[in-house]
Amino acid sequence: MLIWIIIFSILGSAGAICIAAIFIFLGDNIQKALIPALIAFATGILLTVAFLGLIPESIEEVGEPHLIMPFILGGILFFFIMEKIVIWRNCRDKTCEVHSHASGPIILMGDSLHNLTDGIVIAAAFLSGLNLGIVAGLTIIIHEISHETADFGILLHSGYSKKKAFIYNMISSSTTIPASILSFFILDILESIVPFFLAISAASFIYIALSDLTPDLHQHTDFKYIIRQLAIIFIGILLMALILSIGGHNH
Amino acid sequence: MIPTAISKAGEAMQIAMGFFLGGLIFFFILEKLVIWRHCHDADCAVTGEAAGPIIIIGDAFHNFVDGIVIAAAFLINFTFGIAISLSVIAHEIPQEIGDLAILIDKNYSKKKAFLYNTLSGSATIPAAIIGYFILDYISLAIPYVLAISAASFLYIALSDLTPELHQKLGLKHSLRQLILIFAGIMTMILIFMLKSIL
Repeated sequence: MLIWIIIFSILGSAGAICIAAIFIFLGDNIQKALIPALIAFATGILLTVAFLGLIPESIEEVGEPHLIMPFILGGILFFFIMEKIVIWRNCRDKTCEVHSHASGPIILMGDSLHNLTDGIVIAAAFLSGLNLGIVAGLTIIIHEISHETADFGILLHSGYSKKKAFIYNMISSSTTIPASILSFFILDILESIVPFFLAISAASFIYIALSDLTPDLHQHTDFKYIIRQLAIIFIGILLMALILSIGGHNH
Repeated sequence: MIPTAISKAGEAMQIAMGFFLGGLIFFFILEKLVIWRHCHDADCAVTGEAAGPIIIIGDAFHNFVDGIVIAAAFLINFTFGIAISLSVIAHEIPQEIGDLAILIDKNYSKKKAFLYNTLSGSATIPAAIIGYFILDYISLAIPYVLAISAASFLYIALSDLTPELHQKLGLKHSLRQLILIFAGIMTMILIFMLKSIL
């Protein structure tokens, strides 16, 4: 199990950055075509994994929804406050209001905190089942690709060289790996707290999908664009629902 | 709402969650179609295109959903109904102010804007009454209606209101905002706890 966790942690941090670097290297046109599709896809899978994967699993493990829901509520508030402190802001425009304040170091610090959370999510999900781990891991990879591409854009915009941006980004996001390994050992011993970590993971997925990505998705209003966006969201939902249903109930 | 929906649905938790996810996507598409956009600024980009009639139709539809939510919540029990209704009222006040501002901006007279808004807002009342009779009859549907209602609350809170909450950055403003959010949470928790005391 630890091998899976490490593989997905590497893919979700270093792997996502390499793909993001390729996007940056390919230039603005490719980015403009690919990133919106990736964001739509991420929205679909984040919500599906949260509602059909993480939340049902955590409720089943505890057996009482009233114990789990406060953690989801608390998690959403926690991520709200985190975003509030501008530690971590996934803006996909290089020119948005917040970024004029957010300098390189803040982006990098926010990124390492975010990736630390990713690591915990990956460990908690794999400890609840291989299937759940794979879907949560895939979701993190997809989301990280679009997120890291945005971070790159910001770093380059604030005067970092491409090489420096790549190295700093790599270092800041490598937090996923120790976080996942450490969480694996802690959660393996304290098995009873896994469901609550799943609930907080679900909260992070929901928060990212609804309050970070959705406003982005609503920015374009022409019809063809909307249809394509919806099609991608549905493909994401169906794909994740399918993978989740293959595992079924392995209890 | 979600815990109640899950407890009532029993074994069918996955189905209730499916309705929940479906509800989120449904509201996403609705917003997409610009049928319903709660812009609290009169001059935001999207409402620039949204004409008065669209605002009014969107509002009527939204309030129709509110009515069904209120009916479903009261059918669960009294305190639950009160808590849900308070959330609906608290959200409707800023939303209707936004709608009024947009209508007045679209050259409706104040009187006309008020009248039309009251008409579209009144959709809540028949919806609540119809919802009550239908859901009382097919009570099996209540958990799923609750799941969709919860989806509408979550969608509004996270993707409509949260980006707005993040627009101002000052420390004093942020602290006041957080205190108000916590006050909202505590109020609702208190009301839910009343159930066990009474």
